[in-house]
Amino acid sequence: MDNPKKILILGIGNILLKDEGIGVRVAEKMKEMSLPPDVEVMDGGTGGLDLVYCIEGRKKVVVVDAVKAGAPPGTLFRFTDKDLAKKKGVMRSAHGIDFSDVVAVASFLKIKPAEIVFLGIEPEDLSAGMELSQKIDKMVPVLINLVIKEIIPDPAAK
Amino acid sequence: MPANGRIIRNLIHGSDTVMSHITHLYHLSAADFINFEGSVVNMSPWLPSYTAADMIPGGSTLGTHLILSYVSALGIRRKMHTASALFSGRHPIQNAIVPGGVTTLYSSTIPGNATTGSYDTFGPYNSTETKSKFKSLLTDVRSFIDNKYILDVVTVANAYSAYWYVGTGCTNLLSYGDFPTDSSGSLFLKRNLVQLTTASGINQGYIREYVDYSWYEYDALAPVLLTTGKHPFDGITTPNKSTSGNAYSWLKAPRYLIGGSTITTCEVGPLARMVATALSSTQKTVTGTALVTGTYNAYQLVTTALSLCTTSTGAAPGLAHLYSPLGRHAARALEAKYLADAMALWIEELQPDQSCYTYKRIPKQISTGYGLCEAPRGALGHWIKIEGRKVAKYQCVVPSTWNFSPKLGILKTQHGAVEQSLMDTNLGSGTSFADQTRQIVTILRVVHPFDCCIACAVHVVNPEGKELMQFAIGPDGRPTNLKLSGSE
Repeated sequence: MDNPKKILILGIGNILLKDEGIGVRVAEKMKEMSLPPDVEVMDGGTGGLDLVYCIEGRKKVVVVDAVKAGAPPGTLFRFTDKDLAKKKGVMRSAHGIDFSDVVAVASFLKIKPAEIVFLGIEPEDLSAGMELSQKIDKMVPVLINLVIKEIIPDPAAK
Repeated sequence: MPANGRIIRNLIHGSDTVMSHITHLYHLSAADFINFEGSVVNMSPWLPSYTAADMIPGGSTLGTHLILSYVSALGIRRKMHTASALFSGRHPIQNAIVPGGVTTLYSSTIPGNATTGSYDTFGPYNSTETKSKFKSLLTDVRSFIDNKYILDVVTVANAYSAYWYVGTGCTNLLSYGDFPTDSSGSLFLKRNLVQLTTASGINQGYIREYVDYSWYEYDALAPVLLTTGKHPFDGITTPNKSTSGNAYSWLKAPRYLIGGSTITTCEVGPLARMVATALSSTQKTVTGTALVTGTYNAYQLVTTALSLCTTSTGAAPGLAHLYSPLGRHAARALEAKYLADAMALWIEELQPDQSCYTYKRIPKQISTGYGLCEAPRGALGHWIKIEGRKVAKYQCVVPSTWNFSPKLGILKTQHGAVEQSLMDTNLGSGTSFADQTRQIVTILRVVHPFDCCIACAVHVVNPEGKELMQFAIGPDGRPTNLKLSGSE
C-alpha cells in the first residue's frame, strides 16, 4: 500500500556501540527539522526484518548507517541497493539479519522502493558506549547535509 | 503490581514470544529443509541453496506450499508486533515494561482515533479501540498458527521422521516459568526442572557458571585448569584471550546443581517450558478454535499434536521423542498456540482506567535481587546488587549460554546441551560433495531448533572488494579517488 510519506530517511545501527549508532544519531537530529511534508524520519535501530514494512510504499529511502570498509575513519560513502553484494545463503539467526536481507525480502514481496540510497561513514570506534567518537561526531552535520541533498534536489542541477 | 500491569506485561511478552517462534520456523529454519532452486524465490539470498538429496524441492507442490507459508508468515509476524505495540508503544525492542508494571495507560477517555479503521494508523487509542484492534490482530495470528504453522511442522516432521531419533541431547530441561496469572505468582508456563519425563522444583541458589573452557578467568593471580563454579551473585566476567589454555568459547558454562551438588547440563527453551508445563498438576486451561477445540491444557495439546505425527516405526512419537530436532520445532509451534489462545483470554481480563503501575523506590541500603523469566529462546536470569542507590554488580545468564555452553570435563554428560545433541547425531561417512552437503545440512537441522542467539545485532552494510572505490564521496557529495586498504 502507498505511504503518503513518499520519502523515508532511515537511520540504522546500534547506539550501544559508539559510532555504530551514527545512523540513529543523524535521524534523531533530523526529526527536529522542518522537512517537506512527504518526508518521514525514522530511527530504525537494530530493527532487522521489521524494517521491510517500514520501507513499504515509499518512493525513495535514504539509509544512513556506519559502513565498515577499511577506509580511514570518517570516509563517506554513497551507494544504492543495486550495489549491494549478492549474499550467499539465507538468514540463519534473528540477530544476524542485516539491511541487505531487508532489501531482498522487500524485493521478493515486490514492495521495494524504486530508489534506495545508502549514505555511510567509516566508523572510528565500535567499542561499547553511547557517545560517538569525536571524529565521527564532527561529521554528523556533513551527513545531514548529504541527506538533505538526497531529498531536496539542487534546483541548479536541473 | 496492579492486575492491569501484570496482564499487559503478559500480552507484550506473549506477542513477542509468538512472533519470535513464527520467525524461527519459517525465516530462520525453512532453508534447512527446502531447496530454493527452481522455486518462486529464485534469487539471492535464498540462492544458492543447500541441495542435499533429501531436501524438499522448492518448485514441488509441497515446496511451493511451504514457501507461501513463509511469505504469509512475514505479514503475520508484523501483525503480532503491531498488536504488542498497541500496549508497548513500539515493538520490537519495547521499553514499556518497567519495575512495578508498565508505562501504558489503559484509559477509556484518551481522545480516540477510531474513524481511521486501519491498524497502520498510529494511536493514541482509548481502551475500547485498543482492545478491539488487539483482538482483531490476534485472531489473524491464531488462525495462521492453527492452519499453517502447526500443520507445516507436522508435514515436515512426517517427511523427516528420522529426526525424531537424532540430536537427543542431555535430556534435562530447565524452565524458570513465566506469565503470572494472578497476584500470588501462579505461572502459566511452569517453573520446573525436568529429567526425561520427571519434573521437580528448582532453586536459583543452585545455579553456577564455570569457565574451564571459556575465554574468561575467575582469578588472574591463581589461574587453575578447573574452576569452581560461581553463583551469578558472585559472578565475574573478566575476558582472558590467552590461547595457551583450554578455552574454546566466549560463552561461560552455566550448570544446575541438582540437590545442591550434582553438576547438571540443562537445555532451555520452548521444549523445556512445554514439557515442564505439561507435566505440572496445576497447568492452566485455555480455549482453542482448531487442532484442539474447546478447553484444553498443555498436556492435551502436546499429546494431540504428537498423535498427528508418525515415527519411522509407524507409531506416533511419545513424550521422550520430544528430545529431538522435530520435538523442539513442535514444542515451539505448540507453545505459540498455547500462548496465543491464552492471550485471547487475558485481553478480556483488562479493566479500563485501572492503574497499570506501582511506584518502586530504589532501596537506600545495600540490596540484592534477581529476576527469572522466559525469553523466547529460554530461561533468562538477571542478578543485581545495589549500593548507594546505584547498580554495583549485574550478571545475566541468558538462554543461549545454557544451550550453547562449552564442556566442563571429558565425559559426554559434562558437555553443553547443543554439544551433547550433536554427539547424539550420526552424520554418516563419506567425503564426496554430496556427503559433505548431507553432513552440513544435518548439523544445521540439529542446531537450529535451539534457536541460536550467539551473535549480537551489529549490522554494518559491507559491500565487497574493489567496488568500494566508487562509493567514497567527499563532504560535497562528489566521488573521490580514495585508495582503500585491502583494495587494488
